[in-house]
Amino acid sequence: MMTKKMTPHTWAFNITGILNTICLNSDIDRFPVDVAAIAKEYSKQIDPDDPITLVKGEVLDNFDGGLYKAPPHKKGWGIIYNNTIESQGRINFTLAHEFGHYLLHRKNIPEKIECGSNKLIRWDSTYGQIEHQANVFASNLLMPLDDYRQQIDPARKVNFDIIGFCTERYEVSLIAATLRWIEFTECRAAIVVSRDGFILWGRASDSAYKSGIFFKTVSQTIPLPDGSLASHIDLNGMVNQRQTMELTEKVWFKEPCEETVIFSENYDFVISLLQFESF
Amino acid sequence: MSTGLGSKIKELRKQKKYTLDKLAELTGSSKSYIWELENKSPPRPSADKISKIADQLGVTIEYLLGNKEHITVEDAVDARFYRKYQNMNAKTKEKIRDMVNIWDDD
Repeated sequence: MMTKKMTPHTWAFNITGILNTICLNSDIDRFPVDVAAIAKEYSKQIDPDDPITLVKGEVLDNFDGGLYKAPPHKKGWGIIYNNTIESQGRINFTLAHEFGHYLLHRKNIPEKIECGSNKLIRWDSTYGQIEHQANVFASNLLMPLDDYRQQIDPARKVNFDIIGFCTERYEVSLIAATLRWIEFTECRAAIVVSRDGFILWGRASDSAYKSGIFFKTVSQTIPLPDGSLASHIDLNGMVNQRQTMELTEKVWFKEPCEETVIFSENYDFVISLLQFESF
Repeated sequence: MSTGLGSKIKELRKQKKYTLDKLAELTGSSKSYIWELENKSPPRPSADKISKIADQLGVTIEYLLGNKEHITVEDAVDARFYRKYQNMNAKTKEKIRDMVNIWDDD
Protein backbone atom coordinates (compact mmCIF):
# COMPACT_ATOMS: atom_id res chain seq x y z
CA MET A 1 0.00 0.00 0.00
CA MET A 2 1.12 3.48 -0.73
CA THR A 3 1.44 5.62 2.33
CA LYS A 4 2.17 9.13 1.11
CA LYS A 5 -0.75 11.45 0.51
CA MET A 6 -1.98 10.72 -2.98
CA THR A 7 -3.76 13.38 -5.02
CA PRO A 8 -5.79 12.95 -8.21
CA HIS A 9 -2.69 14.08 -10.13
CA THR A 10 -0.25 11.70 -8.44
CA TRP A 11 -2.53 8.70 -8.90
CA ALA A 12 -2.95 9.48 -12.59
CA PHE A 13 0.76 10.21 -12.95
CA ASN A 14 1.72 6.84 -11.44
CA ILE A 15 -0.62 4.90 -13.68
CA THR A 16 0.46 6.92 -16.73
CA GLY A 17 4.09 5.99 -16.02
CA ILE A 18 3.22 2.30 -15.81
CA LEU A 19 1.17 2.43 -19.03
CA ASN A 20 3.94 4.26 -20.87
CA THR A 21 6.42 1.54 -19.89
CA ILE A 22 4.10 -1.33 -20.72
CA CYS A 23 3.11 0.06 -24.10
CA LEU A 24 6.66 0.95 -25.05
CA ASN A 25 7.64 -2.69 -24.69
CA SER A 26 4.65 -4.27 -26.36
CA ASP A 27 2.35 -3.75 -29.29
CA ILE A 28 -0.53 -2.64 -27.09
CA ASP A 29 -1.97 0.71 -28.18
CA ARG A 30 -1.23 3.42 -25.65
CA PHE A 31 -4.51 5.25 -26.39
CA PRO A 32 -7.34 5.25 -25.74
CA VAL A 33 -6.81 4.08 -22.17
CA ASP A 34 -8.65 0.82 -21.45
CA VAL A 35 -10.03 1.99 -18.13
CA ALA A 36 -11.95 -1.18 -17.24
CA ALA A 37 -8.91 -3.46 -17.64
CA ILE A 38 -6.56 -1.07 -15.89
CA ALA A 39 -8.91 -0.40 -12.99
CA LYS A 40 -9.14 -4.13 -12.25
CA GLU A 41 -5.46 -4.89 -12.69
CA TYR A 42 -4.08 -1.85 -10.94
CA SER A 43 -6.43 -2.08 -7.96
CA LYS A 44 -5.40 -5.73 -7.53
CA GLN A 45 -1.77 -4.63 -7.35
CA ILE A 46 -2.23 -1.83 -4.83
CA ASP A 47 -4.86 -3.42 -2.61
CA PRO A 48 -5.24 -7.18 -3.23
CA ASP A 49 -7.81 -7.51 -0.44
CA ASP A 50 -10.06 -4.75 -1.69
CA PRO A 51 -9.73 -4.46 -5.49
CA ILE A 52 -12.18 -3.56 -8.24
CA THR A 53 -13.64 -6.92 -9.20
CA LEU A 54 -16.53 -5.83 -11.39
CA VAL A 55 -16.90 -3.36 -14.26
CA LYS A 56 -20.26 -3.85 -15.84
CA GLY A 57 -22.52 -1.93 -18.20
CA GLU A 58 -26.28 -2.27 -18.47
CA VAL A 59 -29.28 -0.39 -19.77
CA LEU A 60 -29.67 2.05 -16.89
CA ASP A 61 -31.85 5.03 -17.69
CA ASN A 62 -31.02 8.38 -16.15
CA PHE A 63 -27.74 7.14 -14.83
CA ASP A 64 -24.10 7.53 -15.82
CA GLY A 65 -22.26 5.25 -13.44
CA GLY A 66 -21.47 4.49 -9.83
CA LEU A 67 -18.96 2.77 -7.57
CA TYR A 68 -20.44 0.03 -5.40
CA LYS A 69 -19.20 -2.07 -2.54
CA ALA A 70 -19.38 -5.78 -3.28
CA PRO A 71 -22.02 -7.83 -1.41
CA PRO A 72 -20.79 -9.83 1.61
CA HIS A 73 -20.03 -13.01 -0.34
CA LYS A 74 -17.76 -11.17 -2.81
CA LYS A 75 -14.82 -8.91 -2.27
CA GLY A 76 -13.87 -5.44 -3.36
CA TRP A 77 -15.70 -2.84 -5.39
CA GLY A 78 -17.52 -2.59 -8.67
CA ILE A 79 -18.14 0.06 -11.29
CA ILE A 80 -21.62 -0.16 -12.74
CA TYR A 81 -22.44 2.09 -15.68
CA ASN A 82 -25.02 2.85 -18.30
CA ASN A 83 -23.84 1.33 -21.57
CA THR A 84 -26.57 2.92 -23.66
CA ILE A 85 -25.13 6.42 -23.50
CA GLU A 86 -24.43 7.27 -27.11
CA SER A 87 -21.07 8.86 -26.58
CA GLN A 88 -18.37 6.27 -25.94
CA GLY A 89 -16.24 9.19 -24.83
CA ARG A 90 -18.59 9.98 -22.01
CA ILE A 91 -18.72 6.34 -20.93
CA ASN A 92 -14.95 6.22 -20.87
CA PHE A 93 -14.80 9.37 -18.77
CA THR A 94 -17.39 7.97 -16.38
CA LEU A 95 -15.36 4.77 -15.89
CA ALA A 96 -12.22 6.80 -15.21
CA HIS A 97 -14.18 9.05 -12.86
CA GLU A 98 -15.46 6.09 -10.83
CA PHE A 99 -11.99 4.54 -10.80
CA GLY A 100 -10.86 7.88 -9.38
CA HIS A 101 -13.43 7.60 -6.59
CA TYR A 102 -12.10 4.13 -5.80
CA LEU A 103 -8.51 5.38 -5.52
CA LEU A 104 -9.23 8.63 -3.74
CA HIS A 105 -12.33 8.19 -1.64
CA ARG A 106 -13.21 4.60 -0.89
CA LYS A 107 -11.51 4.62 2.48
CA ASN A 108 -12.74 7.88 3.93
CA ILE A 109 -15.87 9.17 2.30
CA PRO A 110 -18.46 6.55 3.34
CA GLU A 111 -18.01 7.56 6.98
CA LYS A 112 -18.45 11.16 6.05
CA ILE A 113 -21.76 10.64 4.31
CA GLU A 114 -23.73 10.44 7.47
CA CYS A 115 -25.43 13.77 7.87
CA GLY A 116 -29.15 14.07 7.49
CA SER A 117 -30.97 15.78 4.70
CA ASN A 118 -31.26 18.92 6.81
CA LYS A 119 -27.53 19.32 6.46
CA LEU A 120 -27.68 18.98 2.76
CA ILE A 121 -25.64 22.07 2.02
CA ARG A 122 -22.57 20.85 3.84
CA TRP A 123 -22.97 17.45 2.32
CA ASP A 124 -23.38 19.01 -1.08
CA SER A 125 -20.11 20.82 -0.80
CA THR A 126 -18.27 17.64 0.13
CA TYR A 127 -20.01 16.07 -2.82
CA GLY A 128 -18.83 18.86 -5.09
CA GLN A 129 -15.28 18.46 -3.91
CA ILE A 130 -15.05 14.72 -4.38
CA GLU A 131 -16.70 14.98 -7.77
CA HIS A 132 -14.13 17.53 -8.83
CA GLN A 133 -11.26 15.34 -7.65
CA ALA A 134 -12.59 12.34 -9.56
CA ASN A 135 -12.89 14.47 -12.71
CA VAL A 136 -9.34 15.75 -12.37
CA PHE A 137 -8.11 12.19 -12.03
CA ALA A 138 -10.10 11.06 -15.08
CA SER A 139 -8.87 13.92 -17.21
CA ASN A 140 -5.23 13.30 -16.24
CA LEU A 141 -5.49 9.56 -16.77
CA LEU A 142 -7.21 9.71 -20.16
CA MET A 143 -5.35 12.72 -21.56
CA PRO A 144 -1.80 12.95 -20.18
CA LEU A 145 -0.42 16.39 -20.91
CA ASP A 146 2.91 15.19 -22.30
CA ASP A 147 1.08 13.33 -25.03
CA TYR A 148 -1.55 16.01 -25.61
CA ARG A 149 1.16 18.66 -26.05
CA GLN A 150 2.65 16.54 -28.79
CA GLN A 151 -0.70 16.42 -30.55
CA ILE A 152 -1.33 20.15 -30.35
CA ASP A 153 1.45 22.69 -30.05
CA PRO A 154 0.56 24.87 -27.03
CA ALA A 155 1.28 27.99 -29.07
CA ARG A 156 -1.03 26.97 -31.88
CA LYS A 157 -4.54 28.23 -32.55
CA VAL A 158 -7.02 25.37 -32.85
CA ASN A 159 -10.41 24.49 -34.26
CA PHE A 160 -12.86 21.75 -33.40
CA ASP A 161 -11.41 19.52 -36.14
CA ILE A 162 -8.05 19.41 -34.40
CA ILE A 163 -9.61 18.90 -30.99
CA GLY A 164 -11.97 16.38 -32.58
CA PHE A 165 -8.96 14.36 -33.65
CA CYS A 166 -7.87 14.25 -30.01
CA THR A 167 -11.32 13.19 -28.84
CA GLU A 168 -10.87 10.09 -30.97
CA ARG A 169 -7.34 9.48 -29.84
CA TYR A 170 -8.29 9.63 -26.16
CA GLU A 171 -11.91 8.54 -26.58
CA VAL A 172 -13.34 11.42 -24.61
CA SER A 173 -16.09 13.95 -25.29
CA LEU A 174 -15.43 17.18 -27.14
CA ILE A 175 -15.95 19.14 -23.94
CA ALA A 176 -13.49 17.03 -21.95
CA ALA A 177 -10.86 17.34 -24.69
CA THR A 178 -11.42 21.09 -25.05
CA LEU A 179 -11.18 21.66 -21.30
CA ARG A 180 -7.95 19.72 -21.17
CA TRP A 181 -6.54 21.76 -24.06
CA ILE A 182 -7.58 24.98 -22.26
CA GLU A 183 -5.39 23.85 -19.34
CA PHE A 184 -2.17 23.83 -21.32
CA THR A 185 -2.59 26.15 -24.27
CA GLU A 186 -0.47 29.28 -24.26
CA CYS A 187 -3.04 31.04 -26.45
CA ARG A 188 -5.69 33.34 -25.06
CA ALA A 189 -8.76 31.19 -25.40
CA ALA A 190 -11.94 30.26 -23.56
CA ILE A 191 -14.71 27.73 -23.76
CA VAL A 192 -18.27 28.87 -23.01
CA VAL A 193 -21.12 26.41 -22.60
CA SER A 194 -24.59 27.90 -22.88
CA ARG A 195 -28.21 26.85 -23.00
CA ASP A 196 -31.28 28.81 -24.09
CA GLY A 197 -29.31 32.02 -24.41
CA PHE A 198 -27.59 32.00 -21.00
CA ILE A 199 -24.12 30.87 -19.98
CA LEU A 200 -24.01 27.65 -17.97
CA TRP A 201 -20.28 27.92 -17.34
CA GLY A 202 -17.08 29.06 -18.95
CA ARG A 203 -13.39 28.36 -18.57
CA ALA A 204 -10.50 30.47 -19.80
CA SER A 205 -6.90 29.51 -20.46
CA ASP A 206 -4.27 30.84 -18.06
CA SER A 207 -3.13 33.61 -20.34
CA ALA A 208 -6.71 34.61 -21.11
CA TYR A 209 -7.65 34.59 -17.42
CA LYS A 210 -4.71 36.82 -16.57
CA SER A 211 -5.90 39.33 -19.13
CA GLY A 212 -9.32 39.57 -17.49
CA ILE A 213 -11.26 36.94 -19.40
CA PHE A 214 -13.43 35.01 -16.98
CA PHE A 215 -17.06 34.35 -16.18
CA LYS A 216 -18.72 34.66 -12.79
CA THR A 217 -21.44 32.16 -13.51
CA VAL A 218 -21.83 30.92 -9.94
CA SER A 219 -22.95 34.23 -8.51
CA GLN A 220 -24.60 35.64 -11.62
CA THR A 221 -26.82 34.57 -14.46
CA ILE A 222 -25.16 35.89 -17.58
CA PRO A 223 -26.92 36.07 -20.93
CA LEU A 224 -24.92 35.41 -24.08
CA PRO A 225 -23.74 38.74 -25.44
CA ASP A 226 -25.74 40.23 -28.31
CA GLY A 227 -23.91 39.66 -31.52
CA SER A 228 -22.22 36.47 -30.37
CA LEU A 229 -22.51 33.56 -32.76
CA ALA A 230 -24.00 31.31 -30.07
CA SER A 231 -26.79 33.81 -29.41
CA HIS A 232 -28.17 33.90 -32.92
CA ILE A 233 -27.46 30.65 -34.70
CA ASP A 234 -30.37 28.50 -35.76
CA LEU A 235 -29.87 25.43 -33.61
CA ASN A 236 -32.32 23.28 -35.53
CA GLY A 237 -30.18 23.45 -38.63
CA MET A 238 -26.86 22.70 -37.04
CA VAL A 239 -26.92 19.67 -34.80
CA ASN A 240 -23.30 18.63 -34.34
CA GLN A 241 -22.31 21.05 -37.08
CA ARG A 242 -19.84 23.81 -36.45
CA GLN A 243 -19.76 27.41 -37.50
CA THR A 244 -17.04 29.99 -37.13
CA MET A 245 -17.21 33.74 -37.18
CA GLU A 246 -14.80 36.59 -36.66
CA LEU A 247 -16.29 39.01 -34.16
CA THR A 248 -15.57 42.64 -33.54
CA GLU A 249 -14.41 44.11 -30.27
CA LYS A 250 -17.88 44.90 -28.99
CA VAL A 251 -19.07 41.34 -28.45
CA TRP A 252 -17.00 39.21 -26.06
CA PHE A 253 -14.92 41.07 -23.49
CA LYS A 254 -14.65 44.19 -25.60
CA GLU A 255 -12.01 42.81 -27.87
CA PRO A 256 -12.10 41.06 -31.21
CA CYS A 257 -12.11 37.29 -31.24
CA GLU A 258 -12.93 34.27 -33.31
CA GLU A 259 -15.93 32.30 -32.07
CA THR A 260 -16.53 28.74 -33.19
CA VAL A 261 -19.78 27.15 -32.16
CA ILE A 262 -21.01 23.60 -32.00
CA PHE A 263 -24.43 22.49 -30.82
CA SER A 264 -24.76 19.23 -28.93
CA GLU A 265 -28.31 18.00 -29.28
CA ASN A 266 -27.85 15.12 -26.86
CA TYR A 267 -27.01 17.40 -24.01
CA ASP A 268 -28.94 20.40 -25.17
CA PHE A 269 -26.16 22.93 -24.99
CA VAL A 270 -24.05 25.08 -27.23
CA ILE A 271 -20.28 25.07 -26.95
CA SER A 272 -18.46 28.23 -28.01
CA LEU A 273 -14.73 28.24 -28.45
CA LEU A 274 -13.38 31.78 -28.21
CA GLN A 275 -9.90 32.58 -29.42
CA PHE A 276 -8.48 36.04 -28.84
CA GLU A 277 -5.50 37.68 -30.40
CA SER A 278 -2.17 37.16 -28.69
CA PHE A 279 -0.63 40.10 -26.93
CA MET B 1 -26.62 20.52 -12.23
CA SER B 2 -30.33 21.00 -12.60
CA THR B 3 -32.64 19.85 -9.83
CA GLY B 4 -35.75 17.76 -10.20
CA LEU B 5 -37.64 21.04 -10.11
CA GLY B 6 -35.62 22.48 -12.99
CA SER B 7 -35.97 19.39 -15.17
CA LYS B 8 -39.71 19.30 -14.59
CA ILE B 9 -40.24 22.95 -15.46
CA LYS B 10 -38.16 22.62 -18.57
CA GLU B 11 -39.88 19.45 -19.74
CA LEU B 12 -43.35 20.89 -19.22
CA ARG B 13 -42.38 24.18 -20.83
CA LYS B 14 -41.12 22.35 -23.92
CA GLN B 15 -44.26 20.23 -24.05
CA LYS B 16 -46.31 23.39 -24.14
CA LYS B 17 -43.90 24.84 -26.69
CA TYR B 18 -43.30 27.90 -24.56
CA THR B 19 -40.06 29.83 -24.94
CA LEU B 20 -38.35 31.13 -21.81
CA ASP B 21 -39.69 34.55 -22.74
CA LYS B 22 -43.23 33.27 -23.02
CA LEU B 23 -43.26 31.47 -19.67
CA ALA B 24 -41.64 34.50 -18.05
CA GLU B 25 -44.33 36.76 -19.47
CA LEU B 26 -47.16 34.45 -18.39
CA THR B 27 -45.87 34.19 -14.83
CA GLY B 28 -44.64 37.73 -14.28
CA SER B 29 -41.06 36.54 -13.84
CA SER B 30 -37.94 37.58 -15.67
CA LYS B 31 -36.54 35.34 -18.38
CA SER B 32 -33.32 34.92 -16.41
CA TYR B 33 -35.24 33.80 -13.32
CA ILE B 34 -36.98 31.02 -15.25
CA TRP B 35 -33.62 30.01 -16.71
CA GLU B 36 -32.08 29.91 -13.22
CA LEU B 37 -34.89 27.66 -12.00
CA GLU B 38 -34.30 25.30 -14.89
CA ASN B 39 -30.52 25.26 -14.80
CA LYS B 40 -29.05 26.51 -11.55
CA SER B 41 -31.16 25.21 -8.67
CA PRO B 42 -31.55 28.42 -6.62
CA PRO B 43 -31.76 27.45 -2.94
CA ARG B 44 -35.08 29.14 -2.10
CA PRO B 45 -37.33 29.57 -5.09
CA SER B 46 -40.15 32.02 -4.46
CA ALA B 47 -43.36 30.19 -3.51
CA ASP B 48 -45.43 32.80 -5.25
CA LYS B 49 -43.57 32.38 -8.52
CA ILE B 50 -43.53 28.60 -8.33
CA SER B 51 -47.26 28.71 -7.81
CA LYS B 52 -47.76 30.86 -10.93
CA ILE B 53 -45.45 28.61 -12.94
CA ALA B 54 -47.31 25.50 -11.80
CA ASP B 55 -50.59 27.16 -12.88
CA GLN B 56 -49.33 27.99 -16.32
CA LEU B 57 -47.82 24.56 -16.82
CA GLY B 58 -51.02 22.87 -15.69
CA VAL B 59 -49.55 21.00 -12.72
CA THR B 60 -49.61 21.32 -8.94
CA ILE B 61 -46.90 22.90 -6.81
CA GLU B 62 -46.50 19.56 -5.08
CA TYR B 63 -45.72 17.93 -8.38
CA LEU B 64 -43.10 20.54 -9.23
CA LEU B 65 -41.42 20.50 -5.84
CA GLY B 66 -41.95 16.78 -5.26
CA ASN B 67 -39.71 14.99 -2.83
CA LYS B 68 -37.20 13.85 -5.38
CA GLU B 69 -35.65 17.24 -5.57
CA HIS B 70 -32.69 16.31 -3.44
CA ILE B 71 -30.70 13.18 -2.86
CA THR B 72 -32.06 11.55 0.25
CA VAL B 73 -29.85 9.98 2.87
CA GLU B 74 -31.27 6.63 1.92
CA ASP B 75 -30.17 7.17 -1.68
CA ALA B 76 -26.79 8.35 -0.55
CA VAL B 77 -25.93 5.22 1.39
CA ASP B 78 -27.31 2.98 -1.30
CA ALA B 79 -24.58 3.94 -3.74
CA ARG B 80 -21.36 5.08 -2.19
CA PHE B 81 -20.63 7.18 -5.19
CA TYR B 82 -22.77 7.92 -8.12
CA ARG B 83 -23.49 10.26 -10.90
CA LYS B 84 -26.94 11.57 -11.58
CA TYR B 85 -28.32 9.15 -9.03
CA GLN B 86 -30.92 11.56 -7.75
CA ASN B 87 -32.84 11.49 -11.00
CA MET B 88 -32.82 7.74 -11.27
CA ASN B 89 -36.13 5.98 -11.61
CA ALA B 90 -37.19 3.03 -9.49
CA LYS B 91 -36.58 0.53 -12.28
CA THR B 92 -32.96 1.61 -12.74
CA LYS B 93 -32.40 1.56 -9.00
CA GLU B 94 -33.75 -1.95 -8.73
CA LYS B 95 -31.68 -3.15 -11.67
CA ILE B 96 -28.52 -1.82 -10.04
CA ARG B 97 -29.40 -3.52 -6.73
CA ASP B 98 -29.77 -6.78 -8.62
CA MET B 99 -26.45 -6.29 -10.37
CA VAL B 100 -24.76 -5.66 -7.03
CA ASN B 101 -26.35 -8.74 -5.45
CA ILE B 102 -25.41 -11.02 -8.32
CA TRP B 103 -21.92 -9.48 -8.74
CA ASP B 104 -21.30 -11.25 -11.98
CA ASP B 105 -17.53 -10.78 -12.16
CA ASP B 106 -15.27 -12.83 -14.37
